[in-house]
Amino acid sequence: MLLIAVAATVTALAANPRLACESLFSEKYRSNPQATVSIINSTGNYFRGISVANDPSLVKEIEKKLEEDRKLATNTVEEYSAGNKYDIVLNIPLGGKIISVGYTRNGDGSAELFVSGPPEAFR
Amino acid sequence: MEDLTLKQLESLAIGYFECRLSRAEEEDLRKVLLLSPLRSGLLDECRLAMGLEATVRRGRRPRRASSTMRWLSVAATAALLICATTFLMRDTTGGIDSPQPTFYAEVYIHGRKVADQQTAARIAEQGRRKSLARMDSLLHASLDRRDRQLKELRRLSATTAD
Repeated sequence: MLLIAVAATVTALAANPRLACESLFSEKYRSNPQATVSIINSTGNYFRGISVANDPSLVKEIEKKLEEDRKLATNTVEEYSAGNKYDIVLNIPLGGKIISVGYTRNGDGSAELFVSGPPEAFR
Repeated sequence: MEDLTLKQLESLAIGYFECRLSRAEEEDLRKVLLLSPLRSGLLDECRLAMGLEATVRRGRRPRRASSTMRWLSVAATAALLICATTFLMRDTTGGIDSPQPTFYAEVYIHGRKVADQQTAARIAEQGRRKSLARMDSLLHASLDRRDRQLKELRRLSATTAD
């Protein structure tokens, strides 16, 4: 009986692996004057987007979180272009669904990142 | 008669129920069942039939659980309650990430929230379409490149084979 209770507790506490990129849409980044943050919650879609202008240190911060989430991806498409341009799309299984994380670095201290997928994946 | 085994007593109990015992034998059996520590479903039935309910009740008194088992049961029940509470509370957190009715958008530009919900929704939706279009474009370009390279590879293989 005790073993069952312990096992059930561990299962209940075992949440979805949280995305590192989700922290980019917290209050800290919403109030950042160098960032534009968009948040959409709808019945069919969960979308978060952040774009950064003229802030290389914030771009580095975003890329660090992206690298963490890259480890969770089952599918990756990336492209390097002239002028330090870089695009990547990650497909990550989350909550039994597949969500997408897309990132573009424009090479001039600006970048954009989004997270998109069905709302059930993020509960 | 006091030294009878369980099987022998049960045999006599069957004889009692089948009215094969004499009155003296029934009386002897009654005395034995009253004093004997031996128990089984059949013997208890026989005791009840003979009006020896008290001995049946005495035999069925539940054993007291040891204090260790009692404490383990309490601990298990507490753990189960904590687990159930934790599980139920997981889905009740509020905040921006709670499901909103139909469509809800927030936009922050240079650290300031766009106050008008309709404007925010328009900006957010434009941003979303642009992002998804870029993602589609990247994926298609990647697939096209892959197909071209596979074609080239097949052509080279065919040329080498010739």
